Amino acid sequence: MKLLILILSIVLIATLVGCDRNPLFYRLGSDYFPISSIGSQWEYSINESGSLIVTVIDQTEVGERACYRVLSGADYSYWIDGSGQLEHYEDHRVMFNGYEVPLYQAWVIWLDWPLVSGYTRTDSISTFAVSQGVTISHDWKRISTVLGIETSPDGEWSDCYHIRQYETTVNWIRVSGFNPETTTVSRHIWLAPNVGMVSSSTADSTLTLVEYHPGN
Amino acid sequence: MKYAMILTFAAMIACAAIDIELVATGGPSFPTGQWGNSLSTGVDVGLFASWVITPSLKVGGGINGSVFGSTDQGSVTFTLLKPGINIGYYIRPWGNVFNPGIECGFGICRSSLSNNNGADPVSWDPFWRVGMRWDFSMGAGFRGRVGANYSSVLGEMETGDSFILLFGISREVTL
Repeated sequence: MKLLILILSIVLIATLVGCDRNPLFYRLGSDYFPISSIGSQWEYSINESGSLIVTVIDQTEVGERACYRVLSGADYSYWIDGSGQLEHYEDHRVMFNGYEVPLYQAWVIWLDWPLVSGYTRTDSISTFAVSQGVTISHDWKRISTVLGIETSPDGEWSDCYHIRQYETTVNWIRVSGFNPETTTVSRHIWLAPNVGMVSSSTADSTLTLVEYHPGN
Repeated sequence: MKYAMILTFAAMIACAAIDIELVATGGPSFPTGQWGNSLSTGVDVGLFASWVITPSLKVGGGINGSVFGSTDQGSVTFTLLKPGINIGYYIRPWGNVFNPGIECGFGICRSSLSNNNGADPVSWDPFWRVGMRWDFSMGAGFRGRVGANYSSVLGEMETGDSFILLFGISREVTL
């Protein structure tokens, strides 16, 4: 009996030492990219001067899969939000001799749910296309890392996951006189619970959420 | 005379044989609510020791843990570790085949979440649970039990509720 009391006491003390609470269940149950509601609209300010409106337009089928079509400014993007993953339709093209050459079209995982601090994901593509008798090689790599749980830069949204994405693209027209053309983009994204992207910054621009209207 | 009675009572308590029930349980755990959207059905196991105050009433403590994975091929691991106090009341303790009862408990839950080489900060939250039991004899001093628990972790801003099916085995020992 004494041994039992001793064991229970140790267990109790061990559980109480260093106890710290945080809204883990809230984050786990929140939708950090709510694109599954048609009509949802996000209005962003760009560098505090312009604005960008992002709207979930409808459901459609791309690459033989049902997805949500999102209008961002004048561009469409396509997303699938499954229970465990968020997928984005990558449509990579290059202009060559006045023609638009498709290089890669497929669904690629954007993030895995649930997000956690320190999460990393790397996706890469290596492919080529032949246009007008010329080979164009295409190498693409994206590294996504969750840097931590933070309040958004404007201080409006708490429990945001701060994500850093490095995206590198190398296109090479394989004829003499052409060198590999490398593009690197580094972006920081803050995703807020049940709202989605509330802030994004690259070397060129900073987006800040001004208004959010959830859809039906 | 008064001191003699106290001393006699203390000696009786100290020398009294105490019946302890040891219980091991296991079973599937089903998250209820939004927090389980990205998680699969979990597995729950537990170890408890209870003081048999009367054949019907048992009070003790123990620990149980649940592990959940991804709904797809992902690498999510969500674990709940729950040390706590347990109270059980059984209606027909003499019953070989049918001894229904209820159990409830409370304690502190350690929740930890990891995915793709990362992990969120651990959270410690109070929890409670309540459940029904069907206890029966298995022979050779062992008893079996089946039942279900409804458990709720009182997390910040949102609770983590789950429904657990339980299968267990118990044995009473005298210390």
